Amino acid sequence: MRVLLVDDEVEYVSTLAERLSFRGIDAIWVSSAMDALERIRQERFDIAVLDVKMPKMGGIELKQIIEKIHPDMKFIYLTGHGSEHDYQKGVTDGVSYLIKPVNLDKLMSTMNQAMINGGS
Amino acid sequence: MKMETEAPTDIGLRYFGKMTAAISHELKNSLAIINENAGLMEDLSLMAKRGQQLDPQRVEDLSGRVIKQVQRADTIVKKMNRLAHSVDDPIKEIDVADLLAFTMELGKKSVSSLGVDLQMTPPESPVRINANPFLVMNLFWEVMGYACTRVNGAPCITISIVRNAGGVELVFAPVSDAGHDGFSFDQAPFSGLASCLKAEILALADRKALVLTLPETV
Repeated sequence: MRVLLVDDEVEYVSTLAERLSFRGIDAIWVSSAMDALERIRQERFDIAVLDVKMPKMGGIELKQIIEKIHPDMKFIYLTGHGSEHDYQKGVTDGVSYLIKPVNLDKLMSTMNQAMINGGS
Repeated sequence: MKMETEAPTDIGLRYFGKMTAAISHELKNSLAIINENAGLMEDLSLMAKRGQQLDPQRVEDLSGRVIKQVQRADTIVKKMNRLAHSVDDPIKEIDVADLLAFTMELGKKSVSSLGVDLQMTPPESPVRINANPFLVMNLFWEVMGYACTRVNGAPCITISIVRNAGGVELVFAPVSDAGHDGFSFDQAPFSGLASCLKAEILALADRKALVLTLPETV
């Protein structure tokens, strides 16, 4: 599984990527929506884990753009503390919405589930 | 479209709620980093038990990261405490630059999500006024929010603090509506707060600026 992790908290996203790589997952991380779009245009990913709140462009808006580039990609939203609106948006989009700090096993099972069920 | 005037208590509660939500979001991020670093130490320790070499420098770096996040969380909690105590005194002597810097710091995440940076040009010497600190912060925030949605492509808004004869002026610039040099300004959303603080907000379309004036004593 090839995963793109997008979060403006560099220490968080880089550590998460390292821990996922120990578990056999090819995890690439970037710290902004702009960097994510650059990677998405160059490489293929199976799934993206998106932070909902980021400077300039958040995960919900980023997902809409990525979907136009790679309609088959799956998504998971991850956030520090979601608002009811963000949660409802995740529900409407049919995307799993995880709250930080997240248990790594839970994240991995949610990613596997999204790959099986769609998650987008 | 004319917007309705909101009671200062309602607008104040909304501001308090928004700031505490932003603080809790920041704290969650800090906790998440601590959680991942602890998890990584556990992973490395398990790998060492299976015979893989463990670099002591790596462990030192990871514990350093955790200490840094604890300090970050402590700073966040101090900010929360200052916000909470801003309602203690109905009137207090305020250093305008200091309170504006604090308001900007509290709302940094919310503002950055709009893709705008805020900068302050402080006065040559401290300007102090006597007013309700929470209401002043609330008014700063409302004007900042208004300005940030009217940048018309500008990446940054500068807030200049200038002493005037009767108090202080805060000049927010550039502010303009999309596709125009000037902007239409409706006082209504600010009028309740402005009236409590005897403040005035003036739109200077030709200078692309919004000027908030506060008296020395309310």
